[in-house]
Amino acid sequence: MMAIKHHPAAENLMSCSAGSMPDAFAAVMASHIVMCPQCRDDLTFLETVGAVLFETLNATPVTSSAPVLDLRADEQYRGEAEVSATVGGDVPAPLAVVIGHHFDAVAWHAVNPALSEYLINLPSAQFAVPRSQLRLLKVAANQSLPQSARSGSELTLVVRGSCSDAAGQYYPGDIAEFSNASEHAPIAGADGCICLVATDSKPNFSGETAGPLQSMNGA
Amino acid sequence: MLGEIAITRPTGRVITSGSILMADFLQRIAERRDVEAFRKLFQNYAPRVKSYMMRQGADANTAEELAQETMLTVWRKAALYSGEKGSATTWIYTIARNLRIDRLRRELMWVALPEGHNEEPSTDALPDDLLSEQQRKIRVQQALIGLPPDQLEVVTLSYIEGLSHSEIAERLGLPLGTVKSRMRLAYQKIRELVEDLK
Repeated sequence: MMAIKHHPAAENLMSCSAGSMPDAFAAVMASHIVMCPQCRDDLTFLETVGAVLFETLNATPVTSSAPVLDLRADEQYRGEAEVSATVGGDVPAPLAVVIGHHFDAVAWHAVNPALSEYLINLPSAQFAVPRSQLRLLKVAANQSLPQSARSGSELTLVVRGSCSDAAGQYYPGDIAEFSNASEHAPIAGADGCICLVATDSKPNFSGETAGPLQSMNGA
Repeated sequence: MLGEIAITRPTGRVITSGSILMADFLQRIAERRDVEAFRKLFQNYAPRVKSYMMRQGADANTAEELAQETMLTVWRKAALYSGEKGSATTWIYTIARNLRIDRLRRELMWVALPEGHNEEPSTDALPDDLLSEQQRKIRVQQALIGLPPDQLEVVTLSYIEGLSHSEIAERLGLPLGTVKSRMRLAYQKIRELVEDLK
């Protein structure tokens, strides 16, 4: 894999380290983090920020005492799984927990000949406030990525193929925060592109509405 | 004194933490399964973990349970704690945060990440360049104290109240972009002050 060049913005790393992102955004971040040692370092740094703030909290009396520990059962964790980007497939490990290990095995819904979509139902969705949505978009070679016509946040991770916009080229592992106001839609590379996209409100990606997909064949 | 840091927060409270002492308790649990050391850790951290969980929206009972569970995890995973890699407080905070993401938010994908997901730190940092965690923590404390109030506010709402960018915007009646840029500025200032040490 090529070196990752596009990283999440600082405010996203911060929220991620705080554990305060809407679940779809946290899912995109988790998928990036397993591929990106630099952002893992950054998150470690930011955990110190969380810990310092945690120390400032007033103590709330705990009514129960320390748990009685079974001294005979000396079952200590000695190690944990290594961070691994993918396990036996092409889907980033955290995402594979939810959608399986192969992008080709996903039940894609064809929106039009150039675009397929798969809405990911996060297990946290019923608990999640505020709502956010996570989806995979598969864009055919040299076609524009749909741009959602709405305000709000959006976070994209390229997971296969490539795409590009005015700011540069995006390869697997790269984070893109495509601006909705951008005049030129990002365009998939010669191998097409699969992206994992988090949005914090229902995006207008559907083909029936005016806007994004009209630009598919070049406006 | 290095082990005792007292800082005055913008709220006017004075905080003391015997970090080195706490790290020593953790080592004793890891090496000897020292129950007395665990009791000390529990007394120090469980009430604060409970506060943290309540600020994140848990009711008192749930917060108490999560505090208990956090400390049990500390007992079970003590062998994974390495004094060289981080402070006891940071390690315990991370466990509490992950437990909260798991129980209060049910985020399966985040929970799938191993704890201490920095097992392989980037290799370009030479040991000489690495700050001691203690120094780093002091610098972060100083940086937070030095932040303009509006920046400290968004950072605190994110870490302590568990609010997303848009929830913070709503709470403060600010445009989303303002919340994001305040947070970005805060990050840069903290980062700069810590980088200065290198």
